Amino acid sequence: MRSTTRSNGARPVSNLELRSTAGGYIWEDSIQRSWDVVQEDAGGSLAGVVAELVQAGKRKRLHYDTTPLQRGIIRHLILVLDLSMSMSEKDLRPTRYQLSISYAVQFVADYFEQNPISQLGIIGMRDGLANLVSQLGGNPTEHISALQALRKQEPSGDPSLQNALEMARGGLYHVPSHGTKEVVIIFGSLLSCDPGDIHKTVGTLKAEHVRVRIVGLAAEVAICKEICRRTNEGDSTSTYGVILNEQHFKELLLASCTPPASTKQKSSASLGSDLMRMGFPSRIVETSPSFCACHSRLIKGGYICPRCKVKVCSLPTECPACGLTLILSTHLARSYHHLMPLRNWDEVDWNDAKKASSCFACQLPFLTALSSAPRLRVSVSGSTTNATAVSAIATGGASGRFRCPSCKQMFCIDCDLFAHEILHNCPGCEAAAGGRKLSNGQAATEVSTATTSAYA
Amino acid sequence: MNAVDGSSHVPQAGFASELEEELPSLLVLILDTSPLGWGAQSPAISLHEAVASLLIFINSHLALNHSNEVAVIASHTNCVKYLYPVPGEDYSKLVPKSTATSGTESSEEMITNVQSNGDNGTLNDASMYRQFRVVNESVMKQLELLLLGTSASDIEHNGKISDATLISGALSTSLAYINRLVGGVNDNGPKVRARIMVVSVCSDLASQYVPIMNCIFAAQKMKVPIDICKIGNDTVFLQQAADTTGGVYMHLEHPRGMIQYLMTAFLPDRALRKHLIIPTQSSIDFRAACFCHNRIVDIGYVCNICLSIYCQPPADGSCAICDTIFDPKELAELLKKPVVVTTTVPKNKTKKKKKKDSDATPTFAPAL
Repeated sequence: MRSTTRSNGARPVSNLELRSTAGGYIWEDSIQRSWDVVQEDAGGSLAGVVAELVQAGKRKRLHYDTTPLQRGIIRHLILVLDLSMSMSEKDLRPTRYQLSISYAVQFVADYFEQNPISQLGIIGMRDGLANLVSQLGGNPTEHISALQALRKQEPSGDPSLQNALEMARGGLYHVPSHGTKEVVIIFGSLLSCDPGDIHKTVGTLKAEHVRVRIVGLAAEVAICKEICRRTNEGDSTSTYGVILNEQHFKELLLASCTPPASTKQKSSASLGSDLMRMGFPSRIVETSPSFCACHSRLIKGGYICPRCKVKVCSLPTECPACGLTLILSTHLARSYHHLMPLRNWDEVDWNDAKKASSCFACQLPFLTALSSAPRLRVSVSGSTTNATAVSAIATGGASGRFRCPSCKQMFCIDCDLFAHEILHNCPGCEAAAGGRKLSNGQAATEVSTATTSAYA
Repeated sequence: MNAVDGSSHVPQAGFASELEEELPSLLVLILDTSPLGWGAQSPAISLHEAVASLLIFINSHLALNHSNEVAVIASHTNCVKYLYPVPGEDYSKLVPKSTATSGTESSEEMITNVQSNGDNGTLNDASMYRQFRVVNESVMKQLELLLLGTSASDIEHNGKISDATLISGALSTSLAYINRLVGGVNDNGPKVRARIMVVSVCSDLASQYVPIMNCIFAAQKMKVPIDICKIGNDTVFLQQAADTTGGVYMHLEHPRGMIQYLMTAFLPDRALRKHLIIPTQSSIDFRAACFCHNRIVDIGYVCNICLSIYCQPPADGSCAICDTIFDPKELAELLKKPVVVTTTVPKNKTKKKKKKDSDATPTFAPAL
């Protein structure tokens, strides 16, 4: 007999998901003690165990979503911080409030690094009202100084989701159709104190194509799940997450830095595919300082707007005189790796492992024998991913080598992580002349198609 | 408690090793070994002479600090090869031979010595500083093997002989090597400072634009400056690489004096550069080229799906790269031009006007 639980139109939860591997319900199992995994070896040292845990952590991170999706590159994101009384809890060090602000500062830096032509605004929820912390703009230092100023204040009152969402909606009202409208909320409370009907607000958000993501710090709250589900076309699992620990908090928050995949729009007029006019200024070097048009500061050198010839000091920016977006081609190039992601590499079995004795990229010599991997006592009640990874190392199923499907070169685990997270290039594919059959004189229209075919 | 007089110029005990000047430096040298490229430079400088200058440069780098390290990577037309350190060789096991030759051999003699030895387990000369000898020999030998093993078909791209090399592959490999030695991007202070230096003779390859940009951003994140020593004609990608990562870009006017360029501009490492004024190229062309005609654009149109740049809105209303159809209303907005209204003035009126004007135009008479 299938028993179901329903809440506000959410998907019914079936019995099977609540069952654990041992047969009873999850909450009937014995307590899982995560510290049991760490055991001392014969000499009393933990170094080997720690190294194995680090390796297991690395392997967990190796599964990336590499489908080349269409993504919204010009982003307009509003970060909403919960500044209510529940943020003074000390379950995150030093308090939830201080840690959220530190992570928000890191989020701002990361966001502008990954999306240089996007804009960010910050709103805080305190005492049942929504306060504007920082206007929607493209300069990271302004946002960071506004966040540092927030540190000195104390959290108080109740949060109001509706007020924050209405203020965010107003801030995103003027955004042109080719830009994305997003809201990211850090929510540490279990309630929301609203003046009106929040469901109407969610309806208007959905009508204006605003997408909301929430990071919960306490527990899953039904209204948050509802908001995420309705504004993200029914997908609330990847947009609403509740944190387990500090690292998970950072992961969930920084996951919003990658541009979101575009969803199908109903009308073709609002497809969001637009041609944007942008200026590419050239840098000038001056012997004597002159004023920049954006801040009226005396500086030597700067960039000249190609349309109205005023001087601006830094890019990317909007020309203060004629309103033309001014960028460098490097800013566009920063987003190429989102559009053409690097394929996942396959793990190599021990049968094929003899083909390479060292990593192609960094020359690290590979392990050659099974016995060099130390045995580890696997605890039965450990989390599933940890157990499989650890047992895989213990039985030698994985040889620690990773092979790129296109160039067939073998790499070590550190190069795999480096190539997928920081470099976004495969050193083996780049070092093989086969895929690059273009000569100098050909037009660059084939650049993207050639690289796309090599990557996808 | 240790500060007697409050002056901060004396480093505290145990602190000296953390000063940036004291940290060992890793230099990764990427040498462009395109035969056609070097052949084109032949009256000015040959590969032999350039390698001799580079070996002196490497030896000076190793001499600056006992723990300095170096790696040399050759960027060839169809592969990327480590010249030093070569995988699988154990450099601590090299044994000096007991011949009493002087330490200052020319590069030609070194090659013949290496070839006649055959195996790589011996050092020719016991009187040369061991670290220098190991690096020099390895580089010369591996380079010789690489060039001897190149056939005519290897230097072709698309059926035509070209001087293009795999700079993107060499940069990716060197960044992975640095990542392994420095230990990744972490904030609590790396033990080694790394930098990359590229000696290049070839021109840009358009298909390498995206991989090179990825390498540049990775280097920027890891705080690794990329210095460029360019012989021949200028390239745009490498200029941007040097500028974005904070490196030095030098285009050699007189390649014969290469060793002097190397020693003055490229030898000081990152910590010293703060105190010196290093010659570098400051006027960098950042303008983009459009994808349709390869023209340099000042004001371009960017497709927001695939980020390709056009000099004018495409005639068929769709993007050539990603095939998205643009909104026709938006395109019409972009193509709007100001309307010029012309009024025709009859002839006799202009004549009268002219006469009137000549009477009526005020003349400026300065008050004297």
